[in-house]
Amino acid sequence: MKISLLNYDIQHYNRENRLLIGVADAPLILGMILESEYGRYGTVDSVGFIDKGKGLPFEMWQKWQKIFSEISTNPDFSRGERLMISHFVRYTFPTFASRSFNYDCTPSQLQQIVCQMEQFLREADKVYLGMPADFSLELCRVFEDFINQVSPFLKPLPSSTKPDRNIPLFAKRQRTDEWGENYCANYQASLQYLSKMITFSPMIDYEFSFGRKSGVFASDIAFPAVFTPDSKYGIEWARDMNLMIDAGLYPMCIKVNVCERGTLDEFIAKCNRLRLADHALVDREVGVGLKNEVHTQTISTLEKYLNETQYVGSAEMVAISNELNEIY
Amino acid sequence: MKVQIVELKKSKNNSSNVVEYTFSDMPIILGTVLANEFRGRVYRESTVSAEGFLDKEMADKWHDVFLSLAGHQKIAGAAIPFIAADESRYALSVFATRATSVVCTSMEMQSFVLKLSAFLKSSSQLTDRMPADFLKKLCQVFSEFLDLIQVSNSDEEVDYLSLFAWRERRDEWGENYCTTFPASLGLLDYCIFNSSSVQEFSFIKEPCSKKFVMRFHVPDIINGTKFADAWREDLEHLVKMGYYPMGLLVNICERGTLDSFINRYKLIQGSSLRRSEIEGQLVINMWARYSNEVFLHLYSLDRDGHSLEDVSDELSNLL
Repeated sequence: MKISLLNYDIQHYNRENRLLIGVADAPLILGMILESEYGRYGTVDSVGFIDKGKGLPFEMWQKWQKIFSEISTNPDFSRGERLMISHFVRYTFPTFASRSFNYDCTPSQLQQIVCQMEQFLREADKVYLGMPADFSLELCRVFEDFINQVSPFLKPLPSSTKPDRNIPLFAKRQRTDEWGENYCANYQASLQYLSKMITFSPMIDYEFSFGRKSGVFASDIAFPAVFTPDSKYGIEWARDMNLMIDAGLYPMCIKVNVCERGTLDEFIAKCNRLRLADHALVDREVGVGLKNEVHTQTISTLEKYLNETQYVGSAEMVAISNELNEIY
Repeated sequence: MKVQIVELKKSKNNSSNVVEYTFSDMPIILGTVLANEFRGRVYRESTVSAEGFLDKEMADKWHDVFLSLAGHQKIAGAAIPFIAADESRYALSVFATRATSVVCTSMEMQSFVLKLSAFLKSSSQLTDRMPADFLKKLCQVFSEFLDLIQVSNSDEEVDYLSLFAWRERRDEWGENYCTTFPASLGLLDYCIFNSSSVQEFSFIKEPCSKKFVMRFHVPDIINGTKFADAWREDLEHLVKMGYYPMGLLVNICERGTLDSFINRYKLIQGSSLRRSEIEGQLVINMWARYSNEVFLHLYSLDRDGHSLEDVSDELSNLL
């Protein structure tokens, strides 16, 4: 990872400049952490490129890139669907694959991120729900590197004023579902889905934890919508992705427990934006009706939201379910 | 109002260029609307333009009163000017102006302009949500802004401006919270610039007649003194003149996650302590007091027969 300061100064009525930081070859997971925390306040340039790496990750990328290209030649797919299929290869990227991006924030926002990382380094082994030890260890290395490289851009804070906060992307405990003026929804989705949603709806809070069975890491994997788990490709996909998991590579297809929280309006805005994006994607051509994970998961949350609000008698709940019905 | 546009970062795609828009003499209410849409990216001058506005004269008059009253109380000397400046802001109109700047992408500004246009188009439906003269002035301010920032026409569906409440919301306490409380426009402005929770407001109405009720925040320093009535009269006079002071009470609906509330609470505690270290005086503003009330409500929560123990545990750690 290499961090450089592509500075621009804005010193106005407030007391802070803004920083533009160029982050080259940083792990995907670091981009997710930065975006989930300050994507709503700053701007994060979209993915420049993702380094496919060497060895197993590169082999998997190469193999599945070829398979998806073959699948997308089927004339039944629309142009938008072909584009969607070509994106499925992102599921094979390891969570620590390199990505380059620019990040725009203020020094105090950067300081807060650093404080959260320092807290993570102190408490990584006990605070976060279900995080595998090797994943946590790798993250510690990334954070140490990040802190070392950004420290020249920071104004040191006195220890009494350092915020006492954990990294919000990692769940510390389980939360109960809630449906009303705000919502809190728990579901399983892939890391790729999570990464996309953090960028897509920065005003909504997302946190995740890894799945566990009998106290050890054991997650399901997500299958691209273009084949089913029991098909020829499905079986091969499961075998390959499990191979990557066994090698400690944590591919983006790993299903994690996601907790999504926000206000009713933010959820509605997200649905509307998705609909616009969907229209742009399928370009109003008729295909086989392929749905990506983002679409399926959002519809599922919307249906749950409606079920939980429309039969509750109060006037406010009726208003909520009416607002939801408009987008359904 | 004038605007200066500086391109900070050019992108391959023009719509995501990062641009800084600096507006001279932007009305406070428009700054609040802007800050609500572009959280953490709106900056403004601390002083309000003094161009002979009635409200500015009144704010200056009350500033002197607060200064002398604070001097007679047991308040540390260094804190007196801060208290006087804070409290006299309540006598400023929401239409008073100050220089304001925003950093955003061209695409985001386009989306904001479309929201303003949508607001203007639907303004006739808003007469039961806000007083007619307030709405008229607001539309003038928005129109002036639209004249400054030209964007290409678009027929895409736009969201509405989230600062204005379109309906009443129910209170909720749990992993997220939603609460409605009467507070001043000054507090609303402060919350929007300093917290990650979501705020919206509506004017207070009489339950039966549906008339708008004009009640005012009375600063602690004059509460219960002979100045309190004079303060109310002055602010009422401002409303009649169509100035709508920051001390006017409105219904604020605030929503956010438990974490955003906890962070805000910690921030208030931290800032009060820092101020106390510097000035030897613990200054707790209205927002901090409100947060204490929310905190107590949240903490004693036992809802629908099942208590939210985890929520309660996190809150008890704040104590």
